[in-house]
Amino acid sequence: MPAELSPTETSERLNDEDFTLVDIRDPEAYEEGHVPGAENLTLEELEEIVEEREWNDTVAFLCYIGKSSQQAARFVEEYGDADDVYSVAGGMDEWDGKVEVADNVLDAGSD
Amino acid sequence: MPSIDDVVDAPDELDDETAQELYEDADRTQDMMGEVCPYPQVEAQKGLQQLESGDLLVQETDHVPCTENVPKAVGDDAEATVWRSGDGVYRIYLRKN
Repeated sequence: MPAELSPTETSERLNDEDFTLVDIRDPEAYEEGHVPGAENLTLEELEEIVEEREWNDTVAFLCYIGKSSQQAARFVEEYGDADDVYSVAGGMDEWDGKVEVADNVLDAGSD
Repeated sequence: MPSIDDVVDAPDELDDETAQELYEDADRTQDMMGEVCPYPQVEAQKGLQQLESGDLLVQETDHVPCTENVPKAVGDDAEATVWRSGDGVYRIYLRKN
C-alpha cells in the first residue's frame, strides 16, 4: 500500500516546487471545490499519460475518501517516474485546509 | 497502455460461465455504472444488511477501484469474487456470511 500523507502534511507541502497534488475526482466535483494548486486528472486521463509524463519528484493523489487515491498512487509508483508517491489520507472528506471554488479561496474549516 | 486494473488488489476472479450463472441467481443486483467511491461501498454495505446469510449481492461497475474498495469496505460481512468483462465492465459478487 502506498504511503499516506495527512491533510496537514499535504497543506505544508503545497508550495514546494518538487511537490504536485493530483485530484482524481470527476471534473464536476473538482470545480465545486478543490485544494488550491491541485491538478485535476481523472483515472482515465491518468492511464493515458502515466508513462509519457515527467512526474514531479513527489506526487500525492487525492480523491473523495482516500481509497481510489491509493490505487492511483500505486499506479504511478508502478508506471511513472516520481521518486515518492502518496495518497492523501481521508480524501476531500477529511480535508480541513483551504478550498478553491472557481477564483475564490475559502477556508474549509470556517463554514 | 497501462491500466489501473494492473495495480488493483481485487479478490479472486470468476470465469464467464460461473459469473453469468451467479448473476442470474443473485438475490440482489446493484447498478453502479458511472458511480464512484464512496457511493458503491455504502450501497454494498446497506444492501448486505438487507440480505440473509448465504444470499448473493452483485454490483455492476465501470469504476475499477471499486473491485478492490467495495470488498474491503464490506470486510468480513461477505465473501467477495469479481468478474471482468474485458471491456471495462466489472461485477463484484458478495456472498453474505
